[in-house]
Order: sequence, then C-alpha cells, then structure tokens
Amino acid sequence: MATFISPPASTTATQPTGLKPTVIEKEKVDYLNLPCPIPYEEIHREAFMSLKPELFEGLRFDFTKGLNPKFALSHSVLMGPTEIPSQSPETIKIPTAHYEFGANYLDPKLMLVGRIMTDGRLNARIKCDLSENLILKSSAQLTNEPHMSNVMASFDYKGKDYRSQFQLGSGALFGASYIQSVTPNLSLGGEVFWTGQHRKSGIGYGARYNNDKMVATGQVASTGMVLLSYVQKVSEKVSLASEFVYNHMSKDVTATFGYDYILRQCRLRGKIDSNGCVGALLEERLNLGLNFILSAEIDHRKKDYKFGFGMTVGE
Amino acid sequence: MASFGGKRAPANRSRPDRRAVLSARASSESSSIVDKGKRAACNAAYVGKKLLNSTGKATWYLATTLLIFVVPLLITMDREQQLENFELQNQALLGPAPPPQQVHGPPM
Repeated sequence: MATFISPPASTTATQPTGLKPTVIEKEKVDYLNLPCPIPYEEIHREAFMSLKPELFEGLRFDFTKGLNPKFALSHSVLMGPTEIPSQSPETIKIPTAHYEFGANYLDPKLMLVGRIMTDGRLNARIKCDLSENLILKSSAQLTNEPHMSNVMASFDYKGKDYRSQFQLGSGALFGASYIQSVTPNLSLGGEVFWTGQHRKSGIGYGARYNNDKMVATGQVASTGMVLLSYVQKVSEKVSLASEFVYNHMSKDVTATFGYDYILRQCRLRGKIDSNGCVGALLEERLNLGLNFILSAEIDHRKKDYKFGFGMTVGE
Repeated sequence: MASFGGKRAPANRSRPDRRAVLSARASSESSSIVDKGKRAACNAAYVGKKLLNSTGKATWYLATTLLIFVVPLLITMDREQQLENFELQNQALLGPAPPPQQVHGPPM
C-alpha cells in the first residue's frame, strides 16, 4: 500500500552526521518531523478494504469509456433482486433493473463525478484542491422522494503532521475532526459532531498504529460504538484482517475475520462474521481492461443467499 | 405411561380388598420395568433423532461456509502455483532472460 508511512525514511534523514562508533544506538525519533497521518474518517481503511467488499446480487455490467485522458463516460446495468425494508424477519425481495449513466472528470486538482439512475437518483461528488493544503470535498444525493436528498461538504486541512476536517451537511449537520501523529507509527485523533435535525451531538476518539507489517486501529464514540480492527500483512499478496464491533446502546457484538489475496490474475476477498454471514468476492482479470466479478454471500441466520456475477469493461 | 395409569386408576376408585391391591401392585411393578425400557428407548430414539438432525444442520452450515470461504481460495492459489511453475519452466527452457511478464501484465 502506497500510503504506508515508512518510519525509517524520516528517522534516517535526521540521524546525526557526526560519526559515532556505537552502532547499537536506538534510532532517535525526531518529533518535529513526523509523517502526516491519514484522515480521521479513513483510519480503518485497510480493514474495511478486506472486510467490506462490494457484494451484490444479480447481474452487473459496467462499461467505462474514456473520451480523453481527463474525461470519461460510464454506463452500467444492474439487474437482480433488491431487498425491501420490512418489519418481518424474512427478507422480501423484488426483481429490479437499473441503468446508470455517469460522467467523470479527473484532474490532479479537480475531480468531478456524476451518476444518474433511471429511477431518478442522482449522485454527485466533487473533490477540489483549493490550495496546497486545503481540500474541498462535496457530495450530494438527490432523489424524487422528499426528505431523502442530502448534501454534504467538507474542508480538509492537511498540516505537516496533522490533519483536520470541518464538515457541513444538510439537516444541520456539523462535524469536525482532528488527527495528529504522535510517533512515526502512532496517530491519535478525535471528532465532534452535532445534528440539528435530530438534536444530537457526539464525540469520538480514534487511534491508529501502523508499521509495514500490520495496522491496528481503535475507535470509541459517545454513540456507544466501539470498533477495534487489526490487519496483518502476511506477504505482499496476502493480508488478513479482523474486526470487532460493539455497540453499547443496542448491545450488539460482531466479530469479523477476512482475507485479501491479490494475485497476478485475480483478487479474492473473503469474510466471515459472528452473525453467521459468509461472503466472498472474486475479481478476475481476463484481459487488460476486462474484469469478471463473482460475488457470493450467505447469511445462515436469515437464510438469505446472494449470488452475483458481473463484468467490468474499461478502466 | 398410559397403561400404567389405566391399570391403577380403577383399582383406586372401587375400594378393592387386600389381594386385589397386591396383585395390582405386582402388575404395576412388572409393567414399570417394561415401561422404563420403553421410555428409555423412546428417549434414546428422540435424542438420536435430534442429534442426527443437528449434526446434519451443522454439517450443512460448515460445508456451505467452506464452499464460499475456502474453496475459491484453494482454486486461485492452485492456479497461481501452476502459473509460477509454468513460468519457471519457461525460464529454464528459454534461457535466463525471457520476457514472460508481458503476457501476464505488469510484474507484482
């Protein structure tokens, strides 16, 4: 992973130039030259990558065509049963089919992504570098149904060894987060949020420890959520991840274990959790720019079985 | 259970003499052994059935879980191994510096 902070790079640069015969000296940590941490909202990134694959049901076909290096159009077709939220314990599914049209504009400084579906849902995302350190991110979901549309904007400030973020959202949502590198491997952070619509506020803390072999994170929030995750990189191709989530309010406990194999021609992710849910996602590269996807998920408790296959054409 | 109660109930109801009581007791004692055996057999059958049922269920869960979680992994690992072997063979046959990476995309 390219985002891994390599601790020796920062410490070797600050080694005293005066030659000393005592070699077995502990590498001194220069606390003024700590690496920049990753954003607070992404501290579980590696764990989520392997434990939350995009599982789907039915058929999916994605086609992306780049018109020029910066602009691309995408078409995708989704067919299959979709779940309807209901009170009964049994899941109710109805068959649906969607077509989604999208446009992407990608530039190092500006990223615009738009998606529109045949049922009238519109998704838009903007990421814009306002200056070297200040990034504006915005996302919007618009639907025909009332009170389901929402807009969100955030300003990220990237410092030398810290990051902070301020968030504004529809429904009078305000949030702020801050994360600071404490040692080359450890970073600590916190967040506060307030929603005017539900008259709720909360506070959360997070910690992340990473080196080139493993990543361990922990997060606690006043909503009662406790999340611990651990990712071990066994080799360049294989990483194993585990996660533990406890919710104090609903007394829900979930433990998940998963693997992520990145092989030459395919990528395979699998997960199993304590709710009796097993899932796997296989992304097979058939040719350059042509991927075949197989997805499987079994929920033993709900007797819900989801299988899907798909194709991705173009980058 | 039914035979036990059926035999005893009329004896109690019609105030019998001593002999009748004794014979009834004897018959009830002899039948209690049969009854115990019956009950034990019944219980054993019930437990066995339950055990078989739950074993079957557990096997089903385990098998389906392995099918999703492990089988794809084994298949892909096996194929990766074969690819590597094939490449090694190619290298041995064609000399030290063939470009096999071109076929399989960028090297890892």
